[in-house]
Amino acid sequence: MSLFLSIVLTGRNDDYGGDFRERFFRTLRFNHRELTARGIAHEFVLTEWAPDPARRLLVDFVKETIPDIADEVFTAYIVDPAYQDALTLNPHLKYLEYVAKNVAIRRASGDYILASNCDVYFGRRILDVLAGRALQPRTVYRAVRHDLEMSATPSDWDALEDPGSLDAPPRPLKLPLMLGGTGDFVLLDRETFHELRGFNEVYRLARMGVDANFMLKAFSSGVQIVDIGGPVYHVNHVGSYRVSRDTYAGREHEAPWGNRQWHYHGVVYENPPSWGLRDAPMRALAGGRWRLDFDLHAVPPLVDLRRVVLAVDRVGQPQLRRYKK
Amino acid sequence: MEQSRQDQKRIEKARVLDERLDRAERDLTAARDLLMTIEVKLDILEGAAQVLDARTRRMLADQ
Repeated sequence: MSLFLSIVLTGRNDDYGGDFRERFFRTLRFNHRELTARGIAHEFVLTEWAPDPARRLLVDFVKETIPDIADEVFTAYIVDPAYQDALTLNPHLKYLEYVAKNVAIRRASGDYILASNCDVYFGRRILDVLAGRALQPRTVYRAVRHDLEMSATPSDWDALEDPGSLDAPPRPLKLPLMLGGTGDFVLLDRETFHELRGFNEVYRLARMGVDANFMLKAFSSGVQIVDIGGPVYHVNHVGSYRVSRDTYAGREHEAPWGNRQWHYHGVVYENPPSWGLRDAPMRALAGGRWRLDFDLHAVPPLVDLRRVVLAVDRVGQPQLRRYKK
Repeated sequence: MEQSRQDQKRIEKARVLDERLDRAERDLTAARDLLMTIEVKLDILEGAAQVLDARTRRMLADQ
């Protein structure tokens, strides 16, 4: 029987947001426990992108801290840091998050792939839909994001669903693209994810907007976009865009999330067939770990302008927002 | 009679202007779409130029 769900994540042991490992382990434990309790056949696929060779790998901490997650349920792809240097088009952008996610999407084996983040809890409604296998192919499922206060450390449903823990009122998902916290929850069947060739790997200047740009690409390609009907929960933390966007006022070009003004709401991409570092040589390590060694042949061209194309509107659907200065 | 002819002329003129406005709006949308694509491509070219410049400087400094 084929695996139903692959949960794609990316992270590394770099103390992102102060207590990254603790936040990650809390959500990983919670999500694994709840998925298992409902009998949802799943795997976690982590891309450990460009780890600092002087620090221990994040995946080693996972195996040590949460031993009840079996090796076959947790696969990690450790990507040589040379890929970050070879791929980036913006030296301030230290983490090509969506290329990293593509590495895992390319290699995930579930019928459905959920691209999410390391600090996101899946809500009850989401788990119920997954348990009921009530998903359609060629449909991107989105979930509204509930931001919890920075001090929140939920470990059970009562704490997670306490309205008093909300940092701000949730922003509803709006048609046609249902944007807002998009990177936290993009669920789609594997075949369509592959047909769309994952997230944008052509515009490697920003983290901001790449998730929204995927939604535009999906919409433009005739894929349906649907609200799954319940929230994900995200605990606010230091360093997140939401919390620290004003830190870079007046020097936006230095921001670690890159250019946030680009036309992600109008222009899409056609990734090369080798998306997700298809041609990177892989070495199997122990315990569900793989290392992607550096090979220049696996790196797409620095510039490939014909792969930048206009999004198209769809008959009978709301018109897309276009040029915005 | 004269009044009616003048009304007809005005209606025709308004129709022609309306068509021109539609065409201008379509042209504007197409121009903005093109501009958007060009701006994204320019971002990529600028990024690549900066990256290559930094790499060249590093190589020269290492020599």
